Amino acid sequence: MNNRMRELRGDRGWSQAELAERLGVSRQTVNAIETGKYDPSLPLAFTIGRLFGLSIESIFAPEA
Amino acid sequence: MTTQPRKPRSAGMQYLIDAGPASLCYFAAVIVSALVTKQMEPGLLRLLVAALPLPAILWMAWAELRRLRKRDELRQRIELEAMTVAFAMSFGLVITLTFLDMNGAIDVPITIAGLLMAVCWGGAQMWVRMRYHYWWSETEKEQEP
Repeated sequence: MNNRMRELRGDRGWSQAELAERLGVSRQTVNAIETGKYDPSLPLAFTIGRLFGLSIESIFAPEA
Repeated sequence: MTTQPRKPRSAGMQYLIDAGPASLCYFAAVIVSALVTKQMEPGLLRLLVAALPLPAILWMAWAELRRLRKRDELRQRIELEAMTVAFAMSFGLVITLTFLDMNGAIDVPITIAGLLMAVCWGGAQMWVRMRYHYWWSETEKEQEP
């Protein structure tokens, strides 16, 4: 799964730790999602979407 | 009167609070059981004293499970994958060694099973954490924006 997490986080000037705190997960989880090593659960994906003010499909996209 | 926000506890301190009493109880039960059973005659009472660590083991398992439920989803996934891998590895090894022992190829004491399980669990944790880049250390280099 491809995602725009790093780009969106960068736009807001947040560190991984800051984003992790806002999402209520560990910094390693944010890192694993950004590097594509882990796909978040649906509840976490909704939380990410709500935090960035975007829909899930505009953040996450299946690999072509 | 204003109250100061509580400083978050360190991971080590939180672990001690969550699992410390159960672990202490387990070690105490193992020591007491080992010392007392040596001086007892075979019988039901000796069996009961030998099984003394069992409730403490169940308490430890419950404490670990409660702790895991408080973790974030990636950590839960890592623990689940590591336990699955470790169980398969240790079960396979123990069965293989048992058959080798039964056929007289080698002489393996039963006490090695616990050690094997611990080594397999440690190896599985390392392997799964490497896959997800999820290290124990919080000093890992952070990706700044």
